[in-house]
Amino acid sequence: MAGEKIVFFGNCQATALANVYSNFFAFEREQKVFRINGQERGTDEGRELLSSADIVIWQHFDFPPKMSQAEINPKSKHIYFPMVTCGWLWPFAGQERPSNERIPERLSGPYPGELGDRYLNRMIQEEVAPQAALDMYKNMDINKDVNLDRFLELNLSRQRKRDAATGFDIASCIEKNFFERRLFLTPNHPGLTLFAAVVRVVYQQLGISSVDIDFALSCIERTPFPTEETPIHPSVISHYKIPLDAEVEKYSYFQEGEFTFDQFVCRK
Amino acid sequence: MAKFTFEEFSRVIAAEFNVPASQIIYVTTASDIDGWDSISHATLIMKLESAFNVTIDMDAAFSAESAGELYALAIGG
Repeated sequence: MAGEKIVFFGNCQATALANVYSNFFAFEREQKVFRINGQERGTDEGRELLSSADIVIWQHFDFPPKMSQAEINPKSKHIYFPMVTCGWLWPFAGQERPSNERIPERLSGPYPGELGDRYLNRMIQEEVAPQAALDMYKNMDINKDVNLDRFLELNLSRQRKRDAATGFDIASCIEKNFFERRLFLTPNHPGLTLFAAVVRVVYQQLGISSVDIDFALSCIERTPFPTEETPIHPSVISHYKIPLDAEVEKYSYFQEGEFTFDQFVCRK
Repeated sequence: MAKFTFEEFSRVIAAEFNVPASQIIYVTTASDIDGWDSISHATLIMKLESAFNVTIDMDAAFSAESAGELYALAIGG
């Protein structure tokens, strides 16, 4: 309805949903769209948004943030969507580099956790030279350190639980498209196929017709997440039989260009 | 009596996240440690299971709110 205040709550996935909705639907429907994350929720502005929202789209996490009823407008409509993650391609992901610094141009810093690697971080802390680090890491059979099959099943199991809690079936979509190139760009940045799967369910609940949703998705040429990509370890590619050539595959890194796995590991 | 102490348990957690063992105490939560998210939580549980030859219920592990609660799960408490 005109004048409605819609709040998307969550991480970058909530941001992507909010941005696409704003671009294609909010203006015509005279709705105001906002996005807040877990940290912003604790601010005065965040509390005000949640308590006055007409519709809140909640992202469902494995570690859900603690909420009090006082924070939520009892008259608002609530829509839920699951966090969509890919841990199995990046078993050591999620930790920013020790040297990472917040800079004005990039608040998450040039070496954010989304592109990070705990194993490489340990070698940075131990001051291992880049080429030596590459030699050690690249020749490592990741499956001997992390049971990749079990890790995959655990990740999918968690996805199924988040799906079941929110009325989605992202896990099946993942399984169906498992070998798609760039099914995920980084552990928490899904490619267009999975993003579209979330969009369809959320936007339908917001009252958008299937035809209009399909049209919006047809206008999006790539997933709305940032362009940077986390390189996949060659032994992980080999184990899961992903159709990538580990030696030549290149991964985008902000505006600096594209780099092979070897080049990524050696960059300080 | 537990087969392994919390100190031993916390060292494995600390090593996984490249932090001093002293940073992992009973009340340490995922939000206290950089890189401890739901993805790394699954890896961590597998590492703990392997290190101490135990089986940790994964659903319970994701409901545990602290390192101490994880330890209690690991020792069967």
